[in-house]
Amino acid sequence: METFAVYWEPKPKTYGFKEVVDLSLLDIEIRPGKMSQWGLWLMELADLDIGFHLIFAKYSMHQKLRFYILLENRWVDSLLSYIGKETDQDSEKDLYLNYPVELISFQGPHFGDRYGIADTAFKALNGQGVPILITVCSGAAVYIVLPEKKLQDARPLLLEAFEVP
Amino acid sequence: MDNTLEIIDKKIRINGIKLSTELVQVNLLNRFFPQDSKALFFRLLAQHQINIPLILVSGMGERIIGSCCVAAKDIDRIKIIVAGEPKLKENLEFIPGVGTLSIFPHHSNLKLLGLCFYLLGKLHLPLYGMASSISSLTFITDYSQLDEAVSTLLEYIDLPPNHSPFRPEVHVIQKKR
Repeated sequence: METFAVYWEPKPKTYGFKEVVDLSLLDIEIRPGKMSQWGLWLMELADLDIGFHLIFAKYSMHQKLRFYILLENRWVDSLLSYIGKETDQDSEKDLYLNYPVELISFQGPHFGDRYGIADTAFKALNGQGVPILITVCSGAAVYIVLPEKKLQDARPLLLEAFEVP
Repeated sequence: MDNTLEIIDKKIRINGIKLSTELVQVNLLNRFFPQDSKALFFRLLAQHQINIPLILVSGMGERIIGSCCVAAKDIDRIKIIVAGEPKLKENLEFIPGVGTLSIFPHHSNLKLLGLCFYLLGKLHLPLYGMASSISSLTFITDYSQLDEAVSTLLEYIDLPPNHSPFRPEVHVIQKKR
């Protein structure tokens, strides 16, 4: 049995915005056949208590998965040191580090089930001189990764487009 | 499964696994894909009240700059909508018959992710994309193989008693009055 709930509001309500600065974006190209090996390495990295603010993966081209980890700058040295010691040279070559970056994220009621949330965010930022490095909408959360010092420009534009309690 | 998983000395406890209905993945290709075409795609879907449950956009000079998932029932409408925008239509690629598997919570720890990568890789299950949200990790794979993926994960993951993977039964629809 299915239940349908109907939902609409002129300006999408959020539960509030979260902002994090001093982040690094690690970007790893996972070659075909290497996913389980990377899985083992990631489990070992977990033992170093390296946490993340966002992770996602998408195809960069056919059969090549690109994996991104957004983590605090303080973790970068341990992570790179682990990768330098434990991974093979081919995999090390497939790793790129982009920093510093900033994150603004927000969530709202049933965001994952409602149309137009991403469009509202893009409309607010496009053409305003705010380059977006990454956008992820997953579950009820929206994540926008920006270059350093751009969060201060993005914040008022998003606050205008979304309702904040 | 082989015994190389010595690193997992005991099962990882989680609170739940959620499976999607059948979806289609839409890839946004970078060939001549100007920034405003990307915005146009999301605007058109919003104008036609089509939800996009998962969006991954990186826009960093890759061949595929973005991927998103839409309900399989919406794909014919989307194809009609983009047919009116030739530049946009040429730069979209569709992967039918995909589904998502969400596991929660991840506690911002890499162990659960690593385990999922390891197992999906060993099973040779396709992974078309994945993303974290506040509490869950969501993986996109073939819809027809979601149950196989769950069975394998459950060998290394513990659900609470009386819990089993579920598909949502409540659908939220946003409508303009």
